[in-house]
Amino acid sequence: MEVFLIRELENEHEIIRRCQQGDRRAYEIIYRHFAAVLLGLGRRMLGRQEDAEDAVQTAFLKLYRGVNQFQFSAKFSTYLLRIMMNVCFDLMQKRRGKKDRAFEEIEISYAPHIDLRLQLEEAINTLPERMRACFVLFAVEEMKQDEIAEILNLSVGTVKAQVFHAKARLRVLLSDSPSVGEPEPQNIFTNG
Amino acid sequence: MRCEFYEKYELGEIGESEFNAHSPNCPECRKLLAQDTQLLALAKNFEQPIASPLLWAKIENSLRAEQQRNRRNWRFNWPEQKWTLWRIAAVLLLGIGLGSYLIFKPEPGESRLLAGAALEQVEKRERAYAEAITELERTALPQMAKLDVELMLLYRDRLETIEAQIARCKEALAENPSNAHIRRYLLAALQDKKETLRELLQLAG
Repeated sequence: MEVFLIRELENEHEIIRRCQQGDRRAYEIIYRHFAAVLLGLGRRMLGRQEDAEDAVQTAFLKLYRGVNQFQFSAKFSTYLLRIMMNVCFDLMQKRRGKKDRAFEEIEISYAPHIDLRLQLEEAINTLPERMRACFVLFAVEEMKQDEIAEILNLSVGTVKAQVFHAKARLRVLLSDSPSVGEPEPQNIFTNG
Repeated sequence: MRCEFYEKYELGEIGESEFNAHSPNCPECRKLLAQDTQLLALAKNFEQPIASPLLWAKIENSLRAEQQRNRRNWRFNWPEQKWTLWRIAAVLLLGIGLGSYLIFKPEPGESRLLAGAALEQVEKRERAYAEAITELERTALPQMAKLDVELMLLYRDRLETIEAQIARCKEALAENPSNAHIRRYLLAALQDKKETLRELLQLAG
């Protein structure tokens, strides 16, 4: 599979140094560069746009608090995505505790969709957290498995297994919900 | 029986060439591969969520609030700031020390040590005294015999005392030639000896 890597920030070290000095313009440069990726991750992990935006905001606060400890030998995108994923895991954990009503609605509303893409998006929400994270980073963000392992602090073997099992579950979930209406893209997951 | 080739291929247990050799003859593996390819194609084309136009403003506000909180909490954050405080304390101490020295330092005239030019002048005066004394001694000492015994003994004792004083001063000056106090004592002793010899001459004359 051809792997597309997240574009690295230009003048990364200089921008990070400015962040370390508390320059908010430097944070804005980082935001403009990574917002789409972070928001996408948040959306896939948490399900709702508002939660994703809250997660991005919290991730930037955590970046601000921890940027002085950033090791310049490390890759900044990996560092930032790790922060974002940890924020998502924290929010999911809190939500598990509260049993968020809105989230229940999302789960309840899981139903056959015209669009297979939407069906897949909702099916992803039902995956266990780590599995979901591995699948989203691999399939949606098209990251290499070793990078995913670094972000999630897992072994590459575990990432491979998680992605494999995620695909297996999603295949089952998509085949269970019959595609109706528009034939495009054709649902090849249904039996028969 | 379920085929495990695809799973092994996905988990990296068998290589691509091995799987490619197997899959054309395995409908199950071909189906799984086709489904996963579509799954990945769908996932790759997910719509990117668009950030609310106010998201950056919200983030910036929270960063600003955090910066202000940090500034307020600065003095309470002792473990992180202690080195800065130590540095400030060191600079303050240095400043106080330097300021005190500049304020209370003795004036050049008050110095207990003689500067080079002053020392030269004092030594010149001492040499003048010494020459005058040598001259007086040459004339006065032979005249001592003309004095009565009591007076002679008195002057002899007095001259010995003065000479002992001069010797002690010279000894101290050998170690510390710039000490103004000792120089002053030496000059006084030399002057005393000169006056005593002059007195002696007058009495004998």
